[in-house]
Order: sequence, then C-alpha cells, then structure tokens
Amino acid sequence: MDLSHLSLAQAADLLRKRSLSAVELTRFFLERIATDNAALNAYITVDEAGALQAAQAADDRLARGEATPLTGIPLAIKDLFCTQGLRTTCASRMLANFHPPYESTVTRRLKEAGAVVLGKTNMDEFAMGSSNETSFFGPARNPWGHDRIPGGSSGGSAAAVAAGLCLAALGTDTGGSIRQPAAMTGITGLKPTYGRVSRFGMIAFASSLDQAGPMTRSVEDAALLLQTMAGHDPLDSTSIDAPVPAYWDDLTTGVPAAERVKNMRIGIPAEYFADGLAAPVRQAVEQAIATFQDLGAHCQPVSLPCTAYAIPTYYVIAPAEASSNLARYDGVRFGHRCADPLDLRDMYARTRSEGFGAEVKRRIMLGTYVLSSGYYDAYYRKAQKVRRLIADDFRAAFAQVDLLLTPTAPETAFRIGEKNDDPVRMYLSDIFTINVNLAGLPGLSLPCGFDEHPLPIGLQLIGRPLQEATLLAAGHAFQQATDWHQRRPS
Amino acid sequence: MSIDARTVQHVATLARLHVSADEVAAYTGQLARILTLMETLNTLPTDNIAPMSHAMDMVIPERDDVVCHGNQREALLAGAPDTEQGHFRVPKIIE
Amino acid sequence: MSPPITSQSRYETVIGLEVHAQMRTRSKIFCGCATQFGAEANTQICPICAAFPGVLPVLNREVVNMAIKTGLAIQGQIRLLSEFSRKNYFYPDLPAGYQISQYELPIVEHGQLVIASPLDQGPKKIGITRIHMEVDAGKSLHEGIQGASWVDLNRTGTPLMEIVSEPDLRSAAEAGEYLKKLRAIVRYLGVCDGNMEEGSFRCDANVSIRLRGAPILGTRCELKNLNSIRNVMRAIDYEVERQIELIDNGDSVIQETRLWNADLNSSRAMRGKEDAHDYRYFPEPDLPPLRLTPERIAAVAATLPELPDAKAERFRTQYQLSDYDAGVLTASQELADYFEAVAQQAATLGQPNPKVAANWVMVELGGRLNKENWDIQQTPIPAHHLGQLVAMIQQGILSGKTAKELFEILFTEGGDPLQIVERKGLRQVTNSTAIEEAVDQVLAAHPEDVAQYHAGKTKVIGFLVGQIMKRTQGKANPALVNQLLQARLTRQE
Ligand SMILES: [Mg+2]
Ligand SMILES: [Zn+2]
Repeated sequence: MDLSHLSLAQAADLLRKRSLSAVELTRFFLERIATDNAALNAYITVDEAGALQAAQAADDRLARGEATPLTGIPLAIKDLFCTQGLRTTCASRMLANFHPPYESTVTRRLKEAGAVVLGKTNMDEFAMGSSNETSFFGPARNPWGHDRIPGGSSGGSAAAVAAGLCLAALGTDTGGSIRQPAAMTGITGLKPTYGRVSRFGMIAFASSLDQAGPMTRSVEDAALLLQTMAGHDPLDSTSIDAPVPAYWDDLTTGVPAAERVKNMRIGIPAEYFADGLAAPVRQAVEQAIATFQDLGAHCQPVSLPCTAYAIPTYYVIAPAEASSNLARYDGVRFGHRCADPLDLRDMYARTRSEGFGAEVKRRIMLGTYVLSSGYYDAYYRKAQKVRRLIADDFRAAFAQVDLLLTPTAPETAFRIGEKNDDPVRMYLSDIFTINVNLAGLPGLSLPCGFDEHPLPIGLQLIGRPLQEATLLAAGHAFQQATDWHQRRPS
Repeated sequence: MSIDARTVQHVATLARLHVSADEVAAYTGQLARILTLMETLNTLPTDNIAPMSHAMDMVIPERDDVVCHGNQREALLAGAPDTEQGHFRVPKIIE
Repeated sequence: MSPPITSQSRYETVIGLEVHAQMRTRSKIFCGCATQFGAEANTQICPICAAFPGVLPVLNREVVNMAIKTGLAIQGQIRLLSEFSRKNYFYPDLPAGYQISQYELPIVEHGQLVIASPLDQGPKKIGITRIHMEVDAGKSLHEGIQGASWVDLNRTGTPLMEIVSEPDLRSAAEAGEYLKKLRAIVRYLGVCDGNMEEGSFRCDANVSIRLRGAPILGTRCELKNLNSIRNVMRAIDYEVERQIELIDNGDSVIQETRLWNADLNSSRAMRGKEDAHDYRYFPEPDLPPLRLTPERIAAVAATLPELPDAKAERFRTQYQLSDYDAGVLTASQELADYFEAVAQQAATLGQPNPKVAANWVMVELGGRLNKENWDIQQTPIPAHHLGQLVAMIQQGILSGKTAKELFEILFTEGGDPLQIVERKGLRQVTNSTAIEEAVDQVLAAHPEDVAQYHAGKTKVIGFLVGQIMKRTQGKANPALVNQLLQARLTRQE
C-alpha cells in the first residue's frame, strides 16, 4: 500500500486497527522527506526527533484506546506557527534562529489531539508573496514541474501535501495564501471565516486579514482538520465565540453531500470571468459549473461590482498593518541583530535591512507611506471605506445565493523568476482570493482540471460567514463526482 | 500623488530601514507603480461609507484582572541578541 | 532673567497638562503579568507584553471600569463606542514598536475639574479634553552602564490613563492646584496611587506664552521629567521666563520637548528625537471596538465614593468648618476619614466641637507628621485615641499644655490616653481650693508685682498667671486661675 497518499480517515483507521503504528507512519514520511525534500525545498526544518517522540506518544495513546482521529497523523506546519522549542523562522533571516518559548493555539490543539508534527514548511517571507520566491531559504518548487512556483505564501505546505511529504498541512491565508498555492499544486485548501480559527501564536502579517486553515488532499481531510483547529480562543480577541460544528462527522455521517448540493443556489460572479483569465482555467471552471449543475445545484449569474478595487484596497490595508506588525523585529529581544551597531539608530536600520528581504521591505515602505501624515486619509481611510463596499457586495450576493463559485487564480503556476521584476504583476495572482479576506468570508479551493503542461487548475467556493459546512458539503460532493483531487504529480 | 526619492528616504527613516541610493531609486519606481494602482480607488465615491477596520462585526472581549503567570525571565531572555544582568542590552540611548 | 509674569505683565501664560496615571490593577492591561512596582528586572514579563512574534492582546476589564469611574468623577462623557489604536514609533522600551492607545475615539471626553484659583478669584473650571487608556512603556537604564543601555520591560503593559487638560491653566500655581485636585480624585477613586516619585502619576506640561488678549496660541514647548508637583511648578516658571526672554530679545520659541533637571533648576532640549514624529496612528486590528452599555456605566457610577468637592461641602455644613479647613481635611480620603473618626470619637465622649478636632488633626498631628515626613496613613496615633484626647480637652480634663504632653506621648510611645493621663498625673486641677492656695503663695512671693498691678500696670497679670501655672505644673485650669487671681487682686484693693 502506498502510504503517501492515504486519506486522513484511512490512516486513522489503519492506526486504530494497529495494522500500522504511528512510529512506522512517521518514519515513512521522514524517509520520503529525506529523499525528496531537496528537490522541492518544501520544508525549512524537519523535526525528526520531535516527530518520532510524538509518534511514540500517539502509539501509547492508541494502545490505551484514547485516540482521536488525528492521533498519530503526520502533519506539516507552515513555518509561521510558533512551536515551542522548535525553530520558527517565518522564512526570514530575521527569525532564522528563533525558538519560541510558547505554542500557537492551532498547533497546540492539533498536538493535543495527538497529531505528529514532521516539521516546518517553506513559505514566502513573513507570508508576503504569491510564489514562495521571497523565502530566505530559497523557493519551494511545484511537484508538478520543478521549474514552477508552488504558489504562495503557503507554498511549502502545498508542495509537501501534493508530493506526499506529509498527510496534510497547515497554511495561513491573508490574501489567498492557502487557496492560491492549493490551486497551483492540485490540492484542497480552506481559508475559514475570519475569527473561526485562533491567530494566537501565528506570526502576524496583516492582523485583520490573516487566517489559518487546512491544506489537504481532499475536502474530507480538510473537514477533519478544521474540526480540531477551529473554535474560540480567549487568547485572541478577534476569535469568534460560536459553537464549532463537527465538520467531518457531519460530512461523512450526516446528510449525504450530494443531497445537500441539490437545489443549492450557486452564484457565478461575472467580474471573475473577465479578460485576463487564462483559457484553460476558464474552461476547467466552466466544466466545474456544469458538474455542479449535474449535481442538481442552481447556478446563476451574480455581480460583485467592486471586484476590481480589491487589489488596490488590499495593497493599502495589508502593508499598513504589516508595517506596524513588523516593527517588533528590532534586534532587541529576539531574532537577528546587526554586528557592532554604532548607535541605536544604526542598530535599528541595519538590523532590519539585513534581516528582511526585498519584498518585505517594499511592503513595510508601502505600509509606512500610506499611514504617514498627510496620506492616511487619501490611502488608508479610503481603502477601509472601499473594504466596506467590497464586503457589502458579498452581502448583497449572499441574499440571492448560498455560495459563490469562481476560479481560484487567473492562471496556472508560472515559472520561478518569471514575475520577479514587477511587483504589480505578481500582486495580480491573488486577484480572485483577496476580496474574500477583505470581507472575512470562508473560501475553499479545489482542484478542477489541468492545463496542457499539465498543471493543476483550482476552483474557488466562497461562503457566508461561518458557513464552512456548506462549502465543505459542496466541495465534497464535487470530489465525489470527480477525480481531479486524486491525480498525483509523477 | 507621486512619490519622489526624498519621500522614499523619509519613509525609510520612519520605518527604520537602511536604504542605499540604488534601493531608493528602485523603490521610487516600484512604489510609484503600486500607488498608481491604488489611485483607482479615488474613482469610487465613498462619502458616507464608514471605514471598516475589522473583518467581522465584533465587540472587544474583556478578561478578569488576574495575575496568571510568574517569572519567565530566563526563557524570554534566552534568545535575545545581547543581555546583561537580566536586562536586554542595547546601544547607549541618548535622550 | 526677566521678571516672572504677573497679572500686570504684557504676556499671558497658557498651560495644558497631560497626566499619565498608572491604574492600580493587579495585572497588566493586555496580559496576565503582575504590575507590582520594584520587582527585579524583567521578572514580570511574558511573550505578550514583551511583544514576541504572533502573540495577541486581551483587554483587562478592570482597566475599562477604572477609566469609566475616572471619567464620571470628572463629569466627562463616557463614549458608548470607543476604539484602541496603534501609535507607531521605535524605542527600545516599546517592544512592539507601537503603543496600544486610543486616538480618534477615546473612552472619555469633555470632562472638567474645578480648582481653587490661587489668586483668590474664586473657583475656576479647567476643561479636561479627554481620558484614554493605553499601555505604559518599559524602562531604559543608562547610568553607570559602560557603552550601553539596559532595558527592563517590567513596566511594559501596565495600564495607563492619559488625562489631557484643555489649555485653560494660566500659571504654575494653577497647574499645581489642578494636579493636586486630580491626584486627590484618582486616589479617592482608588484607580491610581498618585505617587509622582515612583512615576505612577506623571505629568507633562505644554507651555506657551502670548501677548495678553492675543487670539491665537504661541509656540509651545513640552516639558518632561517632572516628578513632583513642586517640579512641575518650577519648570513652568522657568519655561515662561525662558520664552519671555527669547521673545523680548527678538528670537522665537521653537517647538520642542524639554527635559527638566531638578538639581540644576533648569531644562534642556531633548536630543535623540530630532526627526519629527509621525506616529502613523491606525485602529488596532487585533482588538475589536469597545462598546459600553448605559447599564454598565450606571453600575460603575454606583460604586463612586464621595469625592473631594462633595466631601468638603459636607464638612462645611456638618462640622461648621471654614472653607480652608474643609479643603485641607478633604485633600485625601485617608485624612478626611481620619478627621471624621476623631470628631466622632470626641463627640461621643464630650461636647462636640469639630473645630477643635480639626485643629488637632491639621495643626498638631499634621505638623508632627510633616516633621517625620510621614503621611496620614503612617500616623502612630489611632484616630480614636486622638478623639479621646480632644474629648478630654473639651471636658476640661486636659489643659492646652497637658494635652500637648499627652499628644507627644501618644505620638512617640503610644498607649491608652486615659491611662497615660492618670499615670502621669496630667489631669487638670479644677479644684479651686488647690488653685487658691497657689494664688496666695504666688502673691506672697511677688509683692512688687502685686504693687505694680495696683499702680495700674495690669500687664503683670500675665506673669502672675504663668507663675501659678508653674506652681501647679500646668495642670490648673487657666480660666479658673484667671478668675481666682482677679478676684483676689480685687479684694486686696
Ligand atoms: Mg500617552
Ligand atoms: Zn505580560
């Protein structure tokens, strides 16, 4: 049996039956990582000792009959979740040697459920990027073509899941950083409603947009992870205090997904199918619409008129918040400090210039500028107002439909280095995902086809606040009707 | 609004980034291009729209006034670049 | 230096004060670290207040309640919707690189405080623009450290109220009155200990001058490092003179921050802040807005104690005290409580005379505490003992002199006042036979003085009384002595 592409439920079943031990499963992935990671650069840090220790503890727990479905499941964690004692770099020179003395709420919950952390995955530096090329540790590569980007910022997690270097992974999504790499690598990625998952211990990029989510090979797996990740956290003041549905149980034992999709109203926003959408992407997404119609859903056109303003709005708000969030990297308490500073001013300027890469510095500059005296109203306040208009668009659309269906990204994975010269071109990669973050809504990316290379194509489903279950049901029904998510890179 | 080299240098100072002359030139071009993109926002009337600072309409939670941990000095100083006698050590601050 | 501004001067002084008051909560504003003063460096910090990557703030409810309380006490408007913002700047004692504060929507606006105008022009209203909540910064240590500074973050995250006055103050003396009043209020409320030396009640002063009657404000300077009310006043006086001299010499005032040096009695412009600050305030994305209900505000209002002005008014009517006495006795909750306990004890034992009680608390006890540099909480005499002392005066058991003797014993050794009176024989002699005996002895011993008296030099009577008091070891009732002496002298005529 090929263990590399087990579903989480299958793995849990094997573990529970003791036909496979957690230590065996963990060793299997550690060996795969040892063989394949060099080519993909998906992991920044592999925690062999910690993983085996956790696996042993999982086996003990399984033996006691106290296991959860995640006990003994090997996961990869994006390297911006603080893991106590385990190096957490945010793919930055600034934190290249940072060992947090505390644990993020999400990883704590997963660990408490018995999950095994294999290591920390590559990403764009401080999650700023759409291609994983801004990592201090070098770009991660797309398993479908090693000269291609895996998407970003959660590129390492996406590559690890697609290549079978873990069973599932954690990503974070500020403007598309789970969904876009999921689309680029042919996996499933869910960005939950803002506040559904705690941000405590997740190194901040843009606080009002960041949200953690699962990156998996199926919707079912995503549901299982979300079930454990989600929930109110008193350590995060923006965390939503609402009950957490048993997403996975409902999906697998509740009303069958195919039933739930019947008569679902799915909105197709015209603005997402404008010029600039690559032909193979358009075809694949239109095919997916047809599939949903075959499943009994009612697809209807809707309009989100402010769509075009999402990119400029985002590139005011996210860098503004980031410029402030990244002020704590000053060389005083942790992280990089320049050698032999002349004085305080010199310490700050050189520490930060050496510690941050070009894209991070560009966004700090941009964010500082839009907040600075004389520009605040013209840029920052204006963007916040447009943000409300964008959110209102979605609200109006959701008065008519249950969910929205769009492409996840305008094109498939581009070549590494292809867009490095022009930040604006790069920023357009997230044109279909950014508004979802601005509005705080849940978004799910699913594989829905391939282009001629072949490179995977992603489909995005967007739901009402806290309606992850609806997204998961629709996505699951789609995956029961198609096999795109089962394709693997050679 | 256009951005010039002097503004870029000023912003770098505010952000405590050291930028070389080459970098100033590069940033000036790149930021100008991004800011042009942002100016499309001005075509949208937003006079009576309330700014949106948070993704969700929430109210701040409040916690009880309870001291919930003790001395963590060792753990928190362990990764500091420079410490001395239980303090973080920095270049001389001149007031 | 120019002469100080007087009411006849061509210039008018304009002062606004910003007070940062540390709130007396157990834990910090956004994390569960302790707020105790004086702990060993960096032993009261956690990843949250030390701004490690990925951590988030959670607001302390007590901080909000204390801000509401203070807002109500200064008759401010409590906003039902307020928000936290980030104030961005780099400094080693500010770990996040931003201070969580309030900017566009502070919790309290439009308050006021009434001070007694020092020029005796009656009460004066000083506007309070706003009160907002924010985090305190840590401390940097420079002295005696070779080529470096040290950072101690224990104070980081301690809750602060920033209380901003309108530029309504017109002299250093008014500024002093305002600070005394404000400090009394926060102490009454129990929201701040008001200790300026330890830095839990800090004041920055914005000072400018303008030609009397000029419609616009002059360029102001911000004075910092003012760690006592006296220093605030001295620094303002110095600054006003400095600005007058500049203007009189044809120079202009430059807007700057100046550090007061109490030892040198002068100020200097602060270095290291040469670039104009641009704080890039924006709403704190980690904290949703704060919404208050009228019910919550009412519940806090119900916990407000009687405040200094109301208490002084009550003292005037209930105890028939002068404005001055009522003002002095209500300067602090502790002093007012002490006085009331003394007056009450005295009243239960004797003829109530609150004025006597007030004098003993203010003059005798106050003077003695002052000498020791103690405050009322450190008094060695419990209020009920001083109350007994006052009662014994009113009952005629003690004379002024013996009362002082008893007071000194109570202050230095303590003990039960009645027992001390008996043991030391301090009881006043009211027995007229004993006094008459003393009168006779004194008159017999000083025939020349008696003669002078009869010759019309009635002033000698004071000397004779003194001699009689001496002979009775001060225990004779002075009124009785006078009466008997007069009677005897008259009879001799
Ligand atoms: Mg302040
Ligand atoms: Zn703390």
